[in-house]
Amino acid sequence: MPDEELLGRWLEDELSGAEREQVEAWVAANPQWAEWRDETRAWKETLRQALPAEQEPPAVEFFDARIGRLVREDPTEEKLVEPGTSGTSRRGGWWMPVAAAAGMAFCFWAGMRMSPEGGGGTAGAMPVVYTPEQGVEASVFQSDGADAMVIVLDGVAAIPDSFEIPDRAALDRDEGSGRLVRTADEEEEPVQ
Amino acid sequence: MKFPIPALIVLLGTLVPVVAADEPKDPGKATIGRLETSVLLATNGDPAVAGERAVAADAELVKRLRSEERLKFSHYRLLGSDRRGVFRSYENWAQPLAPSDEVLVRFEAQSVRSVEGLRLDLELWLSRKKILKTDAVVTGEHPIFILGPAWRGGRLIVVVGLAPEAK
Repeated sequence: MPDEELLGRWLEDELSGAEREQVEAWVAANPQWAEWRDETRAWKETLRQALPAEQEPPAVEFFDARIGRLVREDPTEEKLVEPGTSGTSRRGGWWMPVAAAAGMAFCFWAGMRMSPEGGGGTAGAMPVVYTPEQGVEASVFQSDGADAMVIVLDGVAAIPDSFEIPDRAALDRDEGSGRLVRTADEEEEPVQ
Repeated sequence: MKFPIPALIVLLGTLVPVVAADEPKDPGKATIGRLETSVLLATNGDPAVAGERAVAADAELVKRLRSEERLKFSHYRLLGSDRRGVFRSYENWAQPLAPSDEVLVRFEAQSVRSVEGLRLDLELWLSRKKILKTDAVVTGEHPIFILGPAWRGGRLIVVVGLAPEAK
């Protein structure tokens, strides 16, 4: 059997001479390969018809000439004006520097509003969350009530009920660590 | 011949600083904060299912959890907690249910500690699988609450926050 590389080139009609004869001798005993080559040829023909024929780009002079002609024919084209000689341009006027300054001031103000240092933005951007496990989804939001970032995981496999809390888990803590633990029972309240 | 005591003291005084100076000190292992990671069982059922080793959660923490609709449950039990240093250059792992590795939190600094807090590359591992990766900013006052997997009729909540700095 010819190797894959040789067969691939044969499918693409890229073989000639002894290589081609060798493969076609083998294909004669494996007619399904002949069918695959016919399919490949049919696909190539379909693509050839669907795609536009290759076109040489027109010369650069063509573009230059066309642009030059459009400029000459443009009835709205204004004549060049010597600085300080006659009137003002339709595209500009005394108000342009003022508008530019106002725009810059607005952009500066908006930037200050959007940055946390500006005092008008959010205290912290939402973190990016990624759940590599399939079927697990995470939603993240800032909880005003809890005054914390909350990430809710859905679709996580449950911890087996047979799992027991190890002896050391909650009880062995460093002294003076500002522990979260209370030994007395909290006041329980039912959820409404 | 006896070795004179004063000479021995002088010799030790010379050698000990030299040996100590030769010990490699890795600045990347400098601790820039301490991360407190806790695991709670939140349930509307019987909290006794958490077992005798679980203890009641801190009242202030419970109040905050109940303030968020998605985290509101009848009972909260602290199953375990861990406090680990955040290294300047290296990752570290919190094991709140030690010695079990059922719940692990991997963390690595992305910034130095500032008034904003400490930006961390944070991962939650459950049953030895990475379930969540995030890049949150944690502080002592504004922890991260992660509503996690179900267990014994309730849900586990992982609380990650900065521990107060040692005085």
